[in-house]
Amino acid sequence: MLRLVICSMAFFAAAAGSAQTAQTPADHLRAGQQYQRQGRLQDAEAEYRKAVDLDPKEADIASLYGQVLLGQLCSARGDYPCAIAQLQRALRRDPTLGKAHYFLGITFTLAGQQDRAVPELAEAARLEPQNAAFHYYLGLALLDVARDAEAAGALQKAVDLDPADVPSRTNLAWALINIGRNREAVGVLDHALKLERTDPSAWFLRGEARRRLGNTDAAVADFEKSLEIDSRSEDALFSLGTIAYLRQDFDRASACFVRLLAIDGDHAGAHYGLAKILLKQGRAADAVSHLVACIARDPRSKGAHYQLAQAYRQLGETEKAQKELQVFQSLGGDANGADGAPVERLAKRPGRGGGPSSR
Amino acid sequence: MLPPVLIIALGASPANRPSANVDITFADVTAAAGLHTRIVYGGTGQNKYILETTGTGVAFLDYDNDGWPDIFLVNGSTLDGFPKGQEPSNHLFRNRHDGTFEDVTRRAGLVQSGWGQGAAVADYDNDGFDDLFVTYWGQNRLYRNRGDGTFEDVTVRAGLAGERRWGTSAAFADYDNDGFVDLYVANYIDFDPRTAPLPGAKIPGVNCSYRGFAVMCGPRGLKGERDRLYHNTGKGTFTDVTVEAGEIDKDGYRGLGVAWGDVNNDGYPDVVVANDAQPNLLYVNQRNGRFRESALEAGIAVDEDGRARAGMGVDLADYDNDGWLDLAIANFYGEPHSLYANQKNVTFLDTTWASGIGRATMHHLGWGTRFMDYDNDGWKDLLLVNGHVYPEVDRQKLDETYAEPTVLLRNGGNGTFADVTASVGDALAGPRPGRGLAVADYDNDGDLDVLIASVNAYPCLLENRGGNANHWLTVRLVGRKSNRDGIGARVTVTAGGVSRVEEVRSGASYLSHSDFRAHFGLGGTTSNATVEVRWPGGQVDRLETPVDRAIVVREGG
Repeated sequence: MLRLVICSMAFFAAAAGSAQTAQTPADHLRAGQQYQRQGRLQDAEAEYRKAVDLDPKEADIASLYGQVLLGQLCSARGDYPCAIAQLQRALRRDPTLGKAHYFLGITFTLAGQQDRAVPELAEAARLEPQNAAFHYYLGLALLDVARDAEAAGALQKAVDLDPADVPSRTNLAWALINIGRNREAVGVLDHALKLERTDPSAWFLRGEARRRLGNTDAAVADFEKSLEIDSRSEDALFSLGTIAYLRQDFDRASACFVRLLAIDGDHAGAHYGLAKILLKQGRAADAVSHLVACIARDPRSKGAHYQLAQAYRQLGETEKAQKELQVFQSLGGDANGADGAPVERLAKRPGRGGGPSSR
Repeated sequence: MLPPVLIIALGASPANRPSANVDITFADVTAAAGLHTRIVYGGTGQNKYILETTGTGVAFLDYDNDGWPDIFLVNGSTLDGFPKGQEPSNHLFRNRHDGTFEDVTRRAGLVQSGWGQGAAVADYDNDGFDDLFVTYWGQNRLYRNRGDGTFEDVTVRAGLAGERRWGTSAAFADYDNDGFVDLYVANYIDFDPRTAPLPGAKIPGVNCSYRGFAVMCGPRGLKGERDRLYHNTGKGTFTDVTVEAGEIDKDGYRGLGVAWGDVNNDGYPDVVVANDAQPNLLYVNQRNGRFRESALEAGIAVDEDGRARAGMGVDLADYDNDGWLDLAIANFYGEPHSLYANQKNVTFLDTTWASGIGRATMHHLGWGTRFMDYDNDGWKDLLLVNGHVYPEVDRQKLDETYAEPTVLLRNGGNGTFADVTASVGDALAGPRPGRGLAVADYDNDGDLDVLIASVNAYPCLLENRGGNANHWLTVRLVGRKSNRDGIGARVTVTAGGVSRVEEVRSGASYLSHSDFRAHFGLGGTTSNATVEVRWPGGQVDRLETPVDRAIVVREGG
């Protein structure tokens, strides 16, 4: 859950009167805010709704803010259609409400409509350029739609506005890694780690940036540190296993992948990594079971089908090998997206929580 | 009874020289050698179309049969073009035998402008003089060497005219062992600037951006163009047998690199094609005029994770000295260049990471690719010319740059390679936006020198200084029943109890052609070497020779 979605939005000063005596939209608005501060979200939502309903002609500014706050609470409890409707109504009345754009953008993000989130958050950041949170969440939304270069720009603004915020830095680093600016990413993460030594994602990302720069010894040290802080870090274990595999250190690679499977028995990458090692060791029959498990989790894994064909061939099962090659070929051409960079984007980025406050 | 051979002694033979780790530098002698021709190719700072990215090749050929490798440089063009009479031309430089070259382009009749790409060399008519084939975005051209220092454009007469494609690498080999070399031409993209998308275009499936900024579109999403195989009729003409020979490149992949080589040691040349962001191809010669595509089963079509890499340059050589040809392919930035060890059963083992090549090349965008024993220690090293395709990367604060270092990887003799670029002087590394690469002992001093073509830059001739501290042998073949250059012949040199194999090859690398002479590093061996030549027609010749010699072996003695 996004922290800022449930934070209060103080359009008005604290309510002077009692919620029970509310009569006007402004009264209901104040009452709702009071309830919201008390954590009585259902009551707050009811009051905001009254503020809105009392002003069908949408002439009172209190009902405008009621719509925004109602949208915020709808969003917080997962009723995205309600949230979107209220926030869009508010924005029709006043398109300059930065926070309404912001909440609407966040709601679109939560509703899985990342494409629609970006313009709302961009507008929020345009209207309130000094609000670090707006830039931060714009950056996250841009990352979600793989617009990494723009994301880096937005996240850099968030960092500039709130230099002490670690999530802004780690996500900026994530964006920089994805656009091939790994040296810069290392610098950003050095700073993040000065601010927070125990953030496993910062260690992991610095390891990833260093790995991509070819500095694998330093990368391994960072991944191990990440794992030391979070012993169940699947990303760190997978990266350590992959590096060991490429270094032909199959014992170490196996240990990482086995440990990973102990955390997540269905981890496709771990099954795949183990299978490749077993194949290189001539243990094709053992490799097959891991590849089958990998394919069960990820049926479109070209690598798994390709390797399964090799395993069957090693076992002398040519028909099965041929069939797997056919499946492999049927999966089509290149997996790369519209961008020409062959280096894969990081699959996951640092946790979505945190980030600067919307104030 | 050994057949008679012509032996040309080129150097003294001091004994007890080191077998490895000799002190070697590559010196940039371009200007001193008189290679004053700037290569023109596409835009500077930015490119509008993919046409502007592929660059040009180079060739070492002995066009005047004087025993000294001459140089041919392919030149390109720009989108704006040039005023008439000022167009960049290809260039032929004659080796003066003193470390310098004379520009004989005009005299040789080789002035030609256009979007030149690659060069391939062979004596296609077996008249004793090497001919030239030059690929273009446009009409490829075949130049017949008249033997008097001039060439004639015989493209039309040879039956190679009329098909305007985007030819890239080309290579000759006698695939049916009839004594006349045939021709494989890789074609890249079906490109038309009138319809090609522009940088930054948003077209599903078409790459028009790189790391978030607009760049020229492609190659992904652009339609490839089918390669062509031409059969030499033996009467000065070629016929297109692309379909009859086994549906060569039936899917029209984006071909960039071609290398012929007998990968299954059956006496018939097979061919490997490196494709850009599409699976590589291996055509295994069926010995009946047809080929069978076998790359996927052979394990070289894609990487071990099933991904098609962006193949550019390609070379075949026996890097592990087991008598079987192994394979190297240069790939894109962020992909390792690939190394495959021949498993002697038409399959290859991907040794990219086990050999150390992967780690050394992950951050390079490779083109020219050549196995060469630069230190004459008897193990073939690997030279890789690199350079980015997007000039724009220099303005984007990325880790990658347009100009990239050339990388020399020394073969440790144990299956691994070590990056020794820094140990051979600054000149080899560059960096440069490199493309074509050819190798020859142009100064006939017993070690292999290097010629590199870069985009919008002067060529770079790098003289190997110190490689001849180890012993060596160079073998030039003259075919009689077989094709005149002995292309496809297998030369085995045994010295000091160790056998090493070379195959005479036209083309390979990227858009380029290296000297036909088979070069053998012999390490510290001072005793005589035994040379065995297995000719494409099956004839086997054997002879014995002192080392540190350039010898000529004529088929059948």
